[in-house]
Amino acid sequence: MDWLGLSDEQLLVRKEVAEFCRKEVAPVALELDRQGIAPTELFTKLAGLGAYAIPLPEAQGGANLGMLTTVVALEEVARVLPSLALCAAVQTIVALSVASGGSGHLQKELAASIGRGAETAAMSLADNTVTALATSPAMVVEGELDLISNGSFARHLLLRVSTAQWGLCGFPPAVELQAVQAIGFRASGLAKVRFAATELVDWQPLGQIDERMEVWRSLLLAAVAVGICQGCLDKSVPYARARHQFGQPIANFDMVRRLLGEISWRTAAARLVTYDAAFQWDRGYSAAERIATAFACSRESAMVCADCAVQVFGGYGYTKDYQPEMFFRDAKFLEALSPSVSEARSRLV
Amino acid sequence: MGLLELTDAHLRFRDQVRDFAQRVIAPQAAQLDASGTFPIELIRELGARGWLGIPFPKEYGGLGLDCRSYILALEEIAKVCASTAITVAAHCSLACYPIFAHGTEHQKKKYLPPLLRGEKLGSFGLTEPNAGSDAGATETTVRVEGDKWIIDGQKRFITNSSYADVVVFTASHDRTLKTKAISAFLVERGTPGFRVGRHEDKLGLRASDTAELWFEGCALPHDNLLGPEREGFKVFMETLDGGRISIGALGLGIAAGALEYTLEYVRTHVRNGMPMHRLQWVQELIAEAATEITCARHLIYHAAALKDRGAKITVPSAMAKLYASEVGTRTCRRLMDIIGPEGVSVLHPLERFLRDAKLMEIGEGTSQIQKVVIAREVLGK
Repeated sequence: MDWLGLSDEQLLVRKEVAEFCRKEVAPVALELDRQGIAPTELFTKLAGLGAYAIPLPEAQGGANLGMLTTVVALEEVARVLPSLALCAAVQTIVALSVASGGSGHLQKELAASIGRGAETAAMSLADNTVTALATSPAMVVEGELDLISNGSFARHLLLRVSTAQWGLCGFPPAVELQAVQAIGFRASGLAKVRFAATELVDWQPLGQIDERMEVWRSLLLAAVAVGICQGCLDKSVPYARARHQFGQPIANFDMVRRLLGEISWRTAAARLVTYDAAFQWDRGYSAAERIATAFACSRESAMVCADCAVQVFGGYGYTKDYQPEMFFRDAKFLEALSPSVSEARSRLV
Repeated sequence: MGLLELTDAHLRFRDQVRDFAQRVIAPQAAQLDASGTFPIELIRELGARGWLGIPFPKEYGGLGLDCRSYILALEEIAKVCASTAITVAAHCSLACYPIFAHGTEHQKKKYLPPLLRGEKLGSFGLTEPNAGSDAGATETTVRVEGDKWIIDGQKRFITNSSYADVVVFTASHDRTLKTKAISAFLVERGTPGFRVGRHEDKLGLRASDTAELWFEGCALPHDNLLGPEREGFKVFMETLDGGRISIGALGLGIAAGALEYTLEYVRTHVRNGMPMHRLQWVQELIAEAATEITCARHLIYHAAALKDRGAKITVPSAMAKLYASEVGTRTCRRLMDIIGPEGVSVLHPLERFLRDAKLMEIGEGTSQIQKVVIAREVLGK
């Protein structure tokens, strides 16, 4: 047990993922983001570490280590490359959806394949719902799904049809798939699709999983946000110590220390509230309010931390030569997701 | 003097710029940002209208208007395209102004008319890799060789540098003497030993030009000294006093543009069956943004009016820049939350506004430096 109450197993997962990120992700992170390249190779390697199967039940080849462990692992990825963490979060959410909502042998297999990374999956970070025009013999839908993470490389798409039912379909479907340019997560393969009376191929209904979906999405995106906070701290403190102005390290100046302090305590707070929410959920407690709090608090913290980090770096922080610029854009993307932080604030209690 | 220290003439001029900005600049802004294209045609068009020389006398080719008119123009341009606005601001406030205020009659007659008429573009080279907030730590050196100044060194984050015909810059005669041995100089594009270096890949203002300047044994005629020798620090401190009002005006303009866009959005969109303008959390954000924008506008216009009266504006301009730049970033950030996930796409202008706004808290002195300036004066130290 360490001071955050993490188990030895959780610490081991954290260490392994951190090592991978340091060696393999960090050297290419800024370039992938700058060029907007989906990190498919790293995505596959991360699968090799078992990253997407952490919360899956053992029956689906998972490690059954719960959401807290998943959060801890994603945080490590996000502090280096938030785009990759988002891809991992989405893959994990789809694996959980199939494991949890699916029935029958085929779907159990599919959950395991997605968990292993043998199959890749995508989902929208905006509205996931399309309108069902017909459900039998085939599922025919219309509507548009925007901000689909993993969209550029995934083979399955998780979506929700207006009949309140979630499901997985083959992807990309026989419709227009468009790359999406957004403020952040430029290396997450963001895409959008338009369905116009489109028949979904390989449709696999997963039933009504709205509530669990809300939990998975909130917790795992909160983990990405916590990672961004930590990433800002990782980069800002050494920079402030190394950068000299007025004959001394800028870390000596109170106004710079204030920025570092802000990053530091917001990171700690975001992490604790997120770990607590994941912990409660893993223990089977009703954790909806805590999870909503974690989702809002961590995203706002990420934005504040990134803003402070850019400020610490000054002119350099405004360029793509350093990480704060990427964190700033990714953090704002998270903050605006539904419910936006401003909206969530008045809905927590 | 009417509301906010503006006259009817000011408002008429503002409307003229607003019309042009909305009609001509706005439709190009998103594309300019996405492609990172410097709007050279647009800048020429602004120049042809005299808007690259708004606050300068007609005898030097300026429009003969005042600082308030200039600030109003920047605000209107920044409402739709901050990249264009900062190009104008750097040209006027940082390049033309020090020539006008500190140049000899000969220098003014030589350099200002083409700059103010918009036939040439100006730039200001102050920041260096190791001299940012601490601009007195200039490492670019100058030595005398015969009747020439020989310049060696590097500047970084220089706005307009790739397109500038004339650059005002600083160099040190003796680095151990810091601020007491800095002089300001003028260099023209094409001078041997002077070249533009790497282009910056930035968070925002992506259609504005930011690059390095390199001086390698660059020989300049004696006449290219701007202002008294070894008083370059004063030249650029005073230049920045004025420049900061323009950076604040950009923060203000971006915030006002973001609010205008969001107002239209909430009037026409429904969330969960409710018209968005009736949601109280939305109203709260709109009310706060509108209030902060109004405060920023008062500070900016006031600082500009003081400059027009010839008052010392160090504190008013630092306060105006500090506040208005933070309002710019904060407003865009919060209003993006109203639009929600849809607003993170580059198809919506708010994400560009936010990226652009952040520079205003950094350029021409970070917020932290503004606070140092304000505290020093307020404390009387």
